[in-house]
Amino acid sequence: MMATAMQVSPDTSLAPVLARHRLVVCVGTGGVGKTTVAAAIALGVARRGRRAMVLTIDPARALGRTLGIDLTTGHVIPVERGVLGAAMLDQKREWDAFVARHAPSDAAARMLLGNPFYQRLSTSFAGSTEYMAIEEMCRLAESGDHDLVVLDTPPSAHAIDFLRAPERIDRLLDEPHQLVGAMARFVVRQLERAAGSETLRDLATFYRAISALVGGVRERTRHARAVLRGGDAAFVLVTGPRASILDDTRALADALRAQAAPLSAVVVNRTHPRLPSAHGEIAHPWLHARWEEAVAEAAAEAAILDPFLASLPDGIARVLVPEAHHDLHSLADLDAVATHLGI
Amino acid sequence: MLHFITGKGGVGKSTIAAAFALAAAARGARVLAIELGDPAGLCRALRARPASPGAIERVAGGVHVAYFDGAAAVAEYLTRKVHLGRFARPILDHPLYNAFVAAAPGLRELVAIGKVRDEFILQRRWEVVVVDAGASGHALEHLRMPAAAAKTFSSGRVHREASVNAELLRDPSLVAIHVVATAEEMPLGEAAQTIETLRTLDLAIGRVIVNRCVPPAPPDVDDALARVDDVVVADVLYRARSWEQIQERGIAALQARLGLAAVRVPRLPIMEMNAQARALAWPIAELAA
Repeated sequence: MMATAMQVSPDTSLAPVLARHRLVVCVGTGGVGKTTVAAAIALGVARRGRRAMVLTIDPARALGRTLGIDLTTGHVIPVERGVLGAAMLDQKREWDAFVARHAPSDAAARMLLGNPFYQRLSTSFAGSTEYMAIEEMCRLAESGDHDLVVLDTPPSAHAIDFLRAPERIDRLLDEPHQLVGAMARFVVRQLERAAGSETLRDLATFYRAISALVGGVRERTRHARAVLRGGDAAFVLVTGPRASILDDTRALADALRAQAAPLSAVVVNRTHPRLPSAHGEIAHPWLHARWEEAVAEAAAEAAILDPFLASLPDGIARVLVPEAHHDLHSLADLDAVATHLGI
Repeated sequence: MLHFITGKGGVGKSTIAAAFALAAAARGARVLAIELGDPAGLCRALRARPASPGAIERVAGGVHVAYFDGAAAVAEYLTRKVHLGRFARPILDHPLYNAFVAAAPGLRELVAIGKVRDEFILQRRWEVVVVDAGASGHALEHLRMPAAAAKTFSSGRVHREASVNAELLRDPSLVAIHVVATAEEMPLGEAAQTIETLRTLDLAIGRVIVNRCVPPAPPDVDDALARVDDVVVADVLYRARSWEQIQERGIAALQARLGLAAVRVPRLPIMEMNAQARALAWPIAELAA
C-alpha cells in the first residue's frame, strides 16, 4: 500500500487517499479546525455512496449543531446515497466497557471499576484518551458497519503522544512486577508521608486488580500499534496558515515519519486568496483598511505557506481550504469544505 | 499581581501572555513569566529557552522566563520539602514512584500550582508573575486542583499545602485569571463556559480578552460596499464585513451572557510571535498592572 502511495504525484485532493484507506486519522494542534475537516471528510465520502463514520473527542457542540444531532448519544444521518455516522468518544464509558470485555470475571471488573486510581486513569492519565480513541476506531472498523472511519484526535500540544499511547498503556501494565521488595516498601512509606496512606492503598489495589487484565489488554495494544503503523490508517495533518502553527506542523510531520506512521495528506485550513496589489479606488476608509489588511495578510501567508508546502516530501497530498464567509452552521457549509478537499 | 492566561487553542493566548509580561516589565516591574507545561507557547513568544524545568532565564525586554513541568516539580517538591535526602534518587527512579506520579489524582497539577505560589509569595523577588496556563481544559485542571486535592488527600502535608494554594487562587487582590478568545462562535463560547466554571469554583476572575478584533464598521459601510465593482475586491470586503458582524454579535452575546465587558485587542498583520507580543504590549498595558 505504501509503495503505491509513494508513486502517485503530489495531489491537491484527498480523494485518492480516501479510496485507498478504511481508517483516517486527523492530527494537528488545537484550534486549526481538525474536527471540521474530519466531519467534512466523512460527509463527502458518505455523499459518494459509502458508509462513513466520524468519531470526535471534543464535546464539539458546534459540530453537533451543524449536523443537527446530539453527538454525545451518537447518531446515523442518512445522506444522499450513503450514510454518515457521527459519535463523540465517551472516554469513561469506553474504558469501562473495555475493562468489562477483558476482565476474567465480573468480580475482577467491579474491583477495578470502583478503584479511585482506575477512575483517574480512565479520565486523565496521559495517553488514556488517545489510546481509547484508537481502540474505538479499530473496533468500529472491525464491526463491518462502516466503509470508512474518520478519527478526530484529541486536542494536544503534542499530537504525537497519540502514536505513543499504546506503549504508554503497556508501560503502565509493566509496573506490578515492581511492587515487591524492601525498596518498594520504603518508597511506599515515603509517598505515604507526602500523600496520606489511603492514596497508596488505592494504588496497590489498582495494580492487583489490573494484573488480571494484562494478557487481553496487551493483545489489543499490539493490534492498535499494528493498525497505526501498518498502512491501514491514513494520517491527515490539519494545519493553518500561521507561522507558529506551521512550525508545530513541520515538527509533527517529522515525528510521524520517525514513528513510521504514513502521512498521506496535509490540509491547510482557512487560507486566504492571493490578491493583486493593484485595484480600483476604495474611498471608504473602513473598507480601505480591510483591503490593505487582506493584501498584507495574503502576501505574508504566501511567504510562509509556499516554502512549507514545497518542503513536504513527494507523494503527500497538499490541500488548501479557503476561509469561509461565516462560521459553519449547516450541512451545506460542511459540503463546501468537502468540495475544497476534493471529495 | 499573579496573572493566569488561558483560552481555546489557536486564539493567541501565549502571545497575549507574553505581551502582559513585556508591558509590566516596560513599566519597571520585576516580572516572571511562567509556562505551565512544555516550553512551546510563552517561552517561544518571549524567545526564551530555559535550560531545564524551573530554570529562570532573562530575555530581551527585562522579563524573566521559566517553564514548570508537573513531573519535575513533584520530584523537586519531594526532594526539598519531604526531605528524602540521600534516598531521593532511588525513590525518584523507582517504577512505583513513576506510576504514582502518573496516576495520583491531580498531584502534578497541584505541585505545579504550589510552585507558582512559591515563586510569587515566598521568593519576594517578583512584583508581577504571568502564567501561560495553556488551553482551557489544561488550565482548569490546574486551577481547580488545590481545592479538590484538599479533599482527595485526607491527610499529610499535601492536604495542608493544597488548602493554602486554594485560598490564594480565590483572592482577587492578588490573582487575576484571564480568558482569551477570538471573535468567533467557538472560541467565544469556550471562553464564556470557562468563566462560568471559574465562577462556580469561586476563583479570582480577571478579564475576557478578545484577540484579533477589527474596528467596528461605521453605519455607511454597506452602501459603500454595494458600490464596489471589482469582483475580487468585493469578495474580500464582503468577507471582512461578514466576519466583523460575527465579531460584534459574538462580543455582544458574550457580554450579555456573562454580565461583564470584554477587552478588545486589535488584529495585527501576520508576523512572528515575538514581534506580535511586542506590538501588543501597549494595548495590553493597562491590564498588566
